[in-house]
Amino acid sequence: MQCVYLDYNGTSPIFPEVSREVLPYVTSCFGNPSSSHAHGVASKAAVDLARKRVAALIGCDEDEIVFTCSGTESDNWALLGALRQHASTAAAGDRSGAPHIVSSAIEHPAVLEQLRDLQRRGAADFTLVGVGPEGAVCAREVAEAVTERTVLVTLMHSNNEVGSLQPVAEVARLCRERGILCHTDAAQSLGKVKIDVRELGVDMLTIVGHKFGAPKGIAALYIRREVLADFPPFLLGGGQEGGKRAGTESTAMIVGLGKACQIALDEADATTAHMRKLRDLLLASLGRRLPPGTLSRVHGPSDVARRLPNTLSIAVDGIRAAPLLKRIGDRFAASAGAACHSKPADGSAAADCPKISAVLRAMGVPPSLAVGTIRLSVGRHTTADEVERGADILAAAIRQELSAAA
Amino acid sequence: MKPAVSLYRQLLREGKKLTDYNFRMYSLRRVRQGFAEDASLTGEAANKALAFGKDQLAMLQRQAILSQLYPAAPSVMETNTFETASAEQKRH
Repeated sequence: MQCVYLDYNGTSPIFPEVSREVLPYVTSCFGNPSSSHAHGVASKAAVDLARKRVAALIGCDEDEIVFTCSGTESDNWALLGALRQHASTAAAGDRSGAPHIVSSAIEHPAVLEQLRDLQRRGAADFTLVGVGPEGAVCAREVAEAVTERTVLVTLMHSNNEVGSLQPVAEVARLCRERGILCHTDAAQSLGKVKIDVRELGVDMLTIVGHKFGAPKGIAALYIRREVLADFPPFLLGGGQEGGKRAGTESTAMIVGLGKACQIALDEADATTAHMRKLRDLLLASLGRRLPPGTLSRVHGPSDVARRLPNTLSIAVDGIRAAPLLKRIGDRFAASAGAACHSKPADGSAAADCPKISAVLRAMGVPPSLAVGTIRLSVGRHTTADEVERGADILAAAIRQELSAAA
Repeated sequence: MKPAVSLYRQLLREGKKLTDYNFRMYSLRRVRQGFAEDASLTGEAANKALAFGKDQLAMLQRQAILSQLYPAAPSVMETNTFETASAEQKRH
């Protein structure tokens, strides 16, 4: 049985129009886009159209879009490419000490793990700027973290756990003033809020297809033209993607991403309004079904303009969200702010020690609330009835756990 | 007016055939919303909207057929009742 799905920030269903668009490219249109015969030409035309659609969504030129296989690849490439580009410049010869990167404490592991590995290898060091209680960095603190060795600032556009929008435009402006590259991971933002890279002022932006209706396994990296010319490729080989990302293009997946981008652009306002309405309905529905005071906290910015329209992160003191969600997982899908348990480092049997999310920890959320945090995220296909039913299921499970604990 | 009404009914009819609860409800909502938004269009703008609607109908027809070939599992939204976890445990 399909459950009530309130985990769009985890992944979205493949939109029907997207699967319709993809279908010919997993059946009859199989040509390699690099081939010059009719089969290849047809595939190349599809890839070119998809690139145009992706560029239109974020307000850039088509040749500034490079397709990748995942947000992780795009993020890793942005970081490693920035370092390699810096190493090849004249300025690099003057440096003393390793190059420096500024990021935030709430980035996706694709950024944080790469930063830690770079530091372990002595290739770069980094500073992570903290966040306030609403889950947003302060642009001034990012500016203060920048040193004369800083070559890149990477700051996510919005946070997946609590939906907080980050001051990327402000940070990009200070980067431009100081000649520092600026990258943003916009995985969670596209399809939810409007993005124009010219207005934002970033040099690089990560796009992730499966968050807004495209299949998994397709993403892209926007690289501003002036940066792209000298930006080193991540994957070397057959010269695809203008020599910037080798590997036979996944035509079907690229077509899917392009269609998802077209839908996101066409339906931007309607989808945002729908998400906001259902997110607010979900909060109100839960409030009606739970005793007063049960919802201890709603994480993230209270200002609508500073958060994603679809994300609701709630904390209930006295519950353990991960096992609770597992118990109702056949009927209800959402995410917890803490994993079920973490393995003790000494290899002993796992005690019941929940692994609290780094984002909630960075926000200063007390462990008792972090353990009881549930992330709910609605999307294009969520219905109001589903929100009410979901609130029924979740509220019943919360009441049951609280009364069992009492 | 008549072509629009006919298209509207066809879109709703095809949308109802989708077996996936979420896609079915979305398509019905989108059709109603789209026609409501474009109700006052005339002339070239109306023709363009109709042409778009016909493209969407073709898409829906294909998706409805696929959906019948590979039916989605029923959603909890399509059951009449739901059980609490404890009731389900007792039942098993």
